[in-house]
Amino acid sequence: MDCLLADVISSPHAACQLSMRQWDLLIRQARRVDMLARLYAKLVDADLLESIPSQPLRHLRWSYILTKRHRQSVILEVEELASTLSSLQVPLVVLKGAAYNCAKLSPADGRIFSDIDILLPKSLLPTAESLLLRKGWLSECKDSYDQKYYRKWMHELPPMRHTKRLTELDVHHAILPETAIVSPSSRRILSRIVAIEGMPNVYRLCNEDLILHSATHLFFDGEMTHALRDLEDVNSLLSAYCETDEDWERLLSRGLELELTYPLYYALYYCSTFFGAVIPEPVLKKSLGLTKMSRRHQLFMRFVFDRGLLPDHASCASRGSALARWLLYVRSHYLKMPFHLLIPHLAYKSVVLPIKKRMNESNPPKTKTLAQLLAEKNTQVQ
Amino acid sequence: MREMRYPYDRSISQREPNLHAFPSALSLKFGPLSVSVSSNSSKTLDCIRQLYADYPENESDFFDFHVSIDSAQGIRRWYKPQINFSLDGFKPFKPLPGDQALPLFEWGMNWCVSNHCHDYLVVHAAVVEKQGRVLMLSAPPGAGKSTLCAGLVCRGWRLLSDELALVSMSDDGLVQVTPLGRPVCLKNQSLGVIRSFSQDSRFGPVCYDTVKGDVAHMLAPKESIDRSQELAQLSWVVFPRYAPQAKSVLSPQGKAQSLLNLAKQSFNLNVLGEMGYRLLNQSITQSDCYDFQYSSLDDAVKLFDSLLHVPDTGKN
Amino acid sequence: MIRLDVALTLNPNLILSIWPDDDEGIGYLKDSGDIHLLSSQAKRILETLVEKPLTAAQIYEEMDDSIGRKTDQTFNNCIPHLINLGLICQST
Repeated sequence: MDCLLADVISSPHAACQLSMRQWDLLIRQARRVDMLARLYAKLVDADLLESIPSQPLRHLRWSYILTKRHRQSVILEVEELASTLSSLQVPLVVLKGAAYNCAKLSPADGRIFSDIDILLPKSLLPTAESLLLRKGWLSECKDSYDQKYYRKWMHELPPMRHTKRLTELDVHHAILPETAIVSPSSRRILSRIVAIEGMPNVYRLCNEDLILHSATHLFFDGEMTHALRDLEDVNSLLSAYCETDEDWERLLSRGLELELTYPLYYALYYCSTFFGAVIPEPVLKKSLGLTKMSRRHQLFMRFVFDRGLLPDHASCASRGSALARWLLYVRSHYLKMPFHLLIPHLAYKSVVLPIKKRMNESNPPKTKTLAQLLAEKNTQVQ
Repeated sequence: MREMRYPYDRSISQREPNLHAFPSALSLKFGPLSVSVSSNSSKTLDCIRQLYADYPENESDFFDFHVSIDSAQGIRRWYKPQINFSLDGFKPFKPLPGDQALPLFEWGMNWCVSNHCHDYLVVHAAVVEKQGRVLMLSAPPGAGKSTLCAGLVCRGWRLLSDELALVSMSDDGLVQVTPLGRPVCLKNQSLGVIRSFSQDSRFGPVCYDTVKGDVAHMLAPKESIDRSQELAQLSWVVFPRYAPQAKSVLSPQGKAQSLLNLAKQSFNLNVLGEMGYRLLNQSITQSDCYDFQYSSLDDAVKLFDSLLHVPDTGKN
Repeated sequence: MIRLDVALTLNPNLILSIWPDDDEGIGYLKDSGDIHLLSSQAKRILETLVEKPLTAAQIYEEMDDSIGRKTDQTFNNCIPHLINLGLICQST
């Protein structure tokens, strides 16, 4: 595997030796997978900013400035959510980026998480939705098919967006859809949540679950555009929480308990391949054993992930890259839904939806939107 | 635009479906940035060359932005051709009709600057300079900002930028503007207005019926391009408004209101947070702020030239 | 008794911008990035009362007619805004 970005992320000192041509490539790869700011954070940690040429360095800094502001706003947003949902009288569990940011965990530095994810008991979702609606969180899906799809099959409410601040919010009741080939028990996950210091009633997943969830998100998701970045999240959690044999043992047995042995194995394997993560050989072996995958299945997975995890950039493309990405896309749907549900869903997405869109384009709605009316009024005034 | 057919255009794209491997690319430098532009259509590159003939090439192996303006393949090559702008494979816009490559490139470059260059407060404003003092013209689209900018540039003001002002703090705590020096984008009637206002003005090809109407670009004067490494201090912040048949009036505007106005025209104020606000505050504090209503370019140029006779109050 | 403390430095999250040649001012909240216009009345209230811990009645006394002593409306609109910005603080 040949990826300059992965090399520099795993050993930042390599950055001091790069030619300008290599910097040019590195910045392009990092931009493609949204890791410019993360790279900056790594160089700061290694105290290397002084030895980086100013031309490429400013791209890293520009991106880092963006993430700093983003971190502040996420924390404010979660505090607001905690008060909005306080009447539910359950802990507010924040997932992924929001959790890393609020609890100041290592993956948060130099990283933008575009939405806020929270986990609530399924029975409370309707109440939560109406509480959120009152505070300006509106559903993003206008399409009635999508609305039904989310409510019936997915593990979350249709994504919401705040009308003023435009933040996106995903309210989950599980970390995977109920139709997925495995469905980790939310009850088990919620039983081990950890309070976040300084934020009353805000919780995160326990250390092992953080790792497992991050790996699950990556290896069950078809959206692999930023796969390398997401893998680095797992890598940085591993280096923070897994040192001793007991740590590894706890992680493996929790993986088994939550039926997530398979994403766990691939996370461990690829963290060591791409980022040189130090994972004891017996741990990796045992982890593979727990997945009970056939040899042929393993080879298939290696084929797709070897390619799919690299930045989707011409410089990282090899024979089979496009096929691997397509297979990953199909696979992600299959993992989330059995075939008899999946085929009609994909058919709707690829046939009915484009036709609907085209019809809307050729026959624009007769009624004017408020924005159009306002615009007309303004031009008249001028 | 030249409607010449390039015989090798089609044969190359048939042989070489990988667009990124297309060998022909332009290397450009303007202001603080270097850009590599590639395209699968040599016609598109020729159009861009017309606008950027006077700009230096990037001497380094490092480019700030690698952008491409590619014609869509497949059926779109013959049926209603389309073009796409992308930065390293990321496409921020929907495709445009095939003959709008130039406006698309310019809008794409604006997008690159306002979404990435966070060392600066990026303000939606035209900026011109004379005698070391910068005049910032900030207004929503359609207020005649670019026309006014082009008019001033035709009368000896140095062009810093017609669309994006890059604002930063100098070591002595004063706000300065970094030039971009790209061509001035003019729309509809403004084209004729500037052509008749200055016989010397040079234009790129006209693109008809874009989302913003008919668009063409006035080339940046050679002198502005050559001096695009020269920063200058901000002295005036002006909010122009074109009003047909109205008298040209420059009326002082309160600092607080000016700050609010300028905040609305800033692209990355929120990204920069406190630093952004400090830049905004200092911009307003060190400048004289005016509302400006105008209809005649000649009057406008006279008025702004007369500002030069008022000594810089140099508010520190 | 409730007293109102008025100080330009009460809220570390606020940057206050005022200019000698402008009646109005600006308050910038660092965490949210919101920019607030301080009306000329609000600015006058600040200038009149700054660094003087006063009761509401005393504040009313201090203000002259031009700020709106006679029109309770101005008083009622401005004080809550200034409290929101953290320029005025209640203490007992």
